[in-house]
Amino acid sequence: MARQAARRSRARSDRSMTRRQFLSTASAGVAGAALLPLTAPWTAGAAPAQIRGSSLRILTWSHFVPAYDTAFDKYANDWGVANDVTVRVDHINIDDLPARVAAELSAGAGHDIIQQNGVIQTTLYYQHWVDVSDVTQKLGQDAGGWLPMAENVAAVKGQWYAVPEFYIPQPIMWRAGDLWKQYNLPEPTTWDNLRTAARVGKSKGHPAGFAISHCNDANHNWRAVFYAFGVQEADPTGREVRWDSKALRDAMKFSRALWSEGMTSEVFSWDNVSDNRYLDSGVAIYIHDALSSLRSIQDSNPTLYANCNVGVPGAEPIGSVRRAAVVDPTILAIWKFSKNIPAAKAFLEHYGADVNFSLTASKGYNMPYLKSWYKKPMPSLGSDPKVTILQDWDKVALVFGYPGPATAPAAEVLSTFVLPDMLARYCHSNDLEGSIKWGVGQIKGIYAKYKS
Amino acid sequence: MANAELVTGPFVHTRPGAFTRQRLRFGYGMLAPAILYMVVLVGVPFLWSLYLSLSDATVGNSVAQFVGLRNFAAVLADSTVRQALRNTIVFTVIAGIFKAVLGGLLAFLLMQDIRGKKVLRSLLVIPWTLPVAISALAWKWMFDPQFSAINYVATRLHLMSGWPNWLGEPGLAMASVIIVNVWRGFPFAAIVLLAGMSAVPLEILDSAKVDGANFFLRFHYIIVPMIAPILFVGLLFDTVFTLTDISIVFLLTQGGPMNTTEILPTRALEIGIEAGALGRGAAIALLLFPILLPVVYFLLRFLGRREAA
Repeated sequence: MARQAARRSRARSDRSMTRRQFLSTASAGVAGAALLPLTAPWTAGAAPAQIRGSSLRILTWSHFVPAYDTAFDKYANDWGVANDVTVRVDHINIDDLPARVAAELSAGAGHDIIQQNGVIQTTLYYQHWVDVSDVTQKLGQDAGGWLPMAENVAAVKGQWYAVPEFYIPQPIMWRAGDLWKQYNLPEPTTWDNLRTAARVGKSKGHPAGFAISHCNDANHNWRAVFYAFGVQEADPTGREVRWDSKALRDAMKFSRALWSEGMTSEVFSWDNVSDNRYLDSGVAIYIHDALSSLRSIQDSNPTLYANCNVGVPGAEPIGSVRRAAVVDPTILAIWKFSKNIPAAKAFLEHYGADVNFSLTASKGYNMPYLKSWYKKPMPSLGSDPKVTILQDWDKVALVFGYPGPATAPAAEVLSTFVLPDMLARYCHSNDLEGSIKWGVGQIKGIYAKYKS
Repeated sequence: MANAELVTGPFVHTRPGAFTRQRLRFGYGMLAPAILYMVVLVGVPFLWSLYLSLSDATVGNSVAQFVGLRNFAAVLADSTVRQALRNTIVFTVIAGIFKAVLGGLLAFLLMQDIRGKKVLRSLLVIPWTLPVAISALAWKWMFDPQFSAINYVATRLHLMSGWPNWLGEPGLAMASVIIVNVWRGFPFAAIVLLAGMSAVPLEILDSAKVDGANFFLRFHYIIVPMIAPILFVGLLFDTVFTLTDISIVFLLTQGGPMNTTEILPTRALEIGIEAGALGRGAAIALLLFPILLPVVYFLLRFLGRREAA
């Protein structure tokens, strides 16, 4: 008994605290509580009480920067822990997203938040997505508004049904450090100069490479050229087709010349990663692709990485009309059938505002739609001289359907690869009018189906 | 005697006995899983796609309007769909011929009494058993325009001049997808034929040999007639599998270049799922039906007649 009493007394004296200890602990606690929202950003902005104890399932792609998937999973999980929400993130191949989204709607079950990437179908799905105008309005207000293309991919009739997540820029990656100097090539500020560079490069065993095939790279690479030559897909409402024009003929002639003088027939069979491999092989004088192709050589081929420049003076080369960068947009939407809409909205509001995380964790791959984030230096991009030019991408970035919104028929023109096929036909046959007749016929047919 | 009177005499209503009822219940019970399987996994999806093809359904619009045959008119007016239809037939027929020839040769080879026959049989069916995604990706690398192992080896052995772009040139792209389909499918054809040929009694073949019949005569007059039912069922299976095979084209070419490898299943996927026009996608998928129906009908009718004879 005496031994037990002595032990209790010793334990009590161990737990006792001096006044100084008490004050310093209390001060630290108060300071910690005050600083917590700053150091742990997921708790910034109190999440609604009703989301506590709920769960959240997110469907997104397998990012081309794999480290981003790991970071995003942790980010979502940390947010869940902080807000007492069980979060699960599923990543699938980008090409499988449309089928998965369609299947979830048919089943009326699946994830709470789904991503659309590249082929955006807001105009098809919006009736089944939660109106998130309140979220996008707040995000826009806090960050100087949205880039105009954000509304083109996320809103229908003025209401926002998705939160624009990020877009993927596709800059020119050119061998400024070695081949450009060796061949004394003109600065690639214009598409004409790039045509010259490709011609010279091909004659020296270093052709350029843009896919002219059934892959998404082909869609946005050639749209960038076509838009630079003044091609318009539809009117600003997105209803009337505007492809058939003198600008289309000019763009087709230029593109065929660029291919025949400066590329090989390899490009007719390329997929979305062929240009990455092509750059990595050391053959390409330039390609036109997302940053992942540069990141893939950063460690494996540091010399090549050092010799590669990203983007050209002015961001993208100028054509006969303008500079145009056609980007791959991504959006996040919430199903109406979701049982966790408040949690989904809270997460989107939190994640949508955290551009710093998105830019940094993706090493500058994920470009923001929010204007104020283009204040230089931008996170990740401003500190890396290789990619500083991307800080000007907001001035040239466009999405498919331009100058109209990314409507369902515009998405079908994209997903059925009409543009690359039209160009491939011209490259093979040298029949300009025949190829345009086929391509414009396909496009008009698609638009007509949506009108009937 | 009583049975004979019942058969030949006038129709007599009789109450089935308990034994008959039990047998009927047992019979239908045994059939039920197969019928349920057919109804749920074949009948319902077929009727559903028929309904979709006659509507303006999209992936985002569950309230579809009846549009009659408008989707069929629209897809038949689409030159790419017509091209896909032609490609589908070319793909199926050429691949089918090669699978039959190679499968037959392989079956004869496996019939021979050679050492390591069992191991050889196991190895030869590997292409058929491998997941299509893995084998198609391996082939994609072998057809790669820059790193093609086929081109590398063939040019080193002076079997080929130049550096063909297998998946980038229209004719070669179709040949490539057919090659992969044949590579995957001919072991199946060989197994089917082998099963049939193993059932041919050796005595009949031996007596034909004694009568002076050479290999081709024995094959034509004895083996083929005896294994015809298996041949036709195998042909039916292969035709259906090839006509509906989306994976090889999707993984190798996505229908390119210039839609020269576009087949109906890939076009249906592009329009119905990726573009979201479910009605038109279903109409494209159903274009296969009038092709398959007569093939299946005539094959089954032929088989039925043979059995009756």
